Amino acid sequence: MASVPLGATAASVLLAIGFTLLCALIEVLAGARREIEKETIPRTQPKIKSCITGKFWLYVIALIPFNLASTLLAWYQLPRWFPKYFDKLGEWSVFMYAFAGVFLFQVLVTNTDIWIFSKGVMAFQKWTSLIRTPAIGAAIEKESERDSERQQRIADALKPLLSEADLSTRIREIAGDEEANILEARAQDADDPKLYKLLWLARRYPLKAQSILNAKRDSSE
Amino acid sequence: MKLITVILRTKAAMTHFFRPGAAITYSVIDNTVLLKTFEVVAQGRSVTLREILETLSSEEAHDAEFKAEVSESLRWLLDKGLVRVEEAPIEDFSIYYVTSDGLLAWNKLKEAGVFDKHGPASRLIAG
Repeated sequence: MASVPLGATAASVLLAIGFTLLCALIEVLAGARREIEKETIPRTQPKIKSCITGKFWLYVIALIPFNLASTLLAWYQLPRWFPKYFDKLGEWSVFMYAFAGVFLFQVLVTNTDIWIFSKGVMAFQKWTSLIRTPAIGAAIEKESERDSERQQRIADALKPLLSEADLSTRIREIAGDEEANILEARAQDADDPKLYKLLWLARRYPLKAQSILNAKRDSSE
Repeated sequence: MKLITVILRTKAAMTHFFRPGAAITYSVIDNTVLLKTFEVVAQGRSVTLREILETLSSEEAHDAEFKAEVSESLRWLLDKGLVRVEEAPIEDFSIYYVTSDGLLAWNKLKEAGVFDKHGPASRLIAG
């Protein structure tokens, strides 16, 4: 252990923190993704910036001590188990300690539940789920706020720029006759049929709605 | 319709760590439409009322009575903190999203075998 320079240990620790962040981000992103695929639900998925919340940082902070401990354990133990391999790796071994410490520890912990007398006394899966779920919930909340704001912003911006007839034609081109007819029928039941159609377009086809808005703005300039 | 009663323990110990002061509550879901509505929101993570109605049944989506039943279910879920809403000027486009309590409850329901983890909502809970 004395032969390992302090700089290498610090590098392992920094890499372990980086891997922890990456790991947590992937887990939160995966948790916030939709579990169903339906034509009626837009296929947009959460963005990385929606995952960065206060609860995400709490999750990362909760993970870091365990991941650092396992990285230091890997740094201590792995060269003793595989001396030739780590001699060959040289300076790159710091990367391997952090990688093994974070990812192997995650695999081990998330697949280990210890039961004594029918009680899950070391139910790691459950523990990690309980600290991860609030971070996932916060990401979903942030993404929903962004979706709602974007939907409203596009609809409000398009309303004065697009006549209802033009809007109906564009919806027919984008969604096809069948879907457009269903939408038309539903919109007629609403207080503001044009706003109904605009909100539908902004929700179902956000990229197309945004490109119509951009084109309208460009042509009006 | 078959009546299903599922006891949910909606708040777990670690949730309290993140929301100090919250009390442990037990909720009962005893209505098929409610269960299916929760399933669509939990699986979709963030969906509009129109999308919920269309996912549950495209034919019934026009039915005012069915819409009222779904709206009532959503109010119950909102009241229990399993779901939250981002209001829109037209009700159909209000976005309902699952909370962390809702995700914990959803996982418990799946563990209890109430839902087919990989099945679409329309295939579940035959009436």
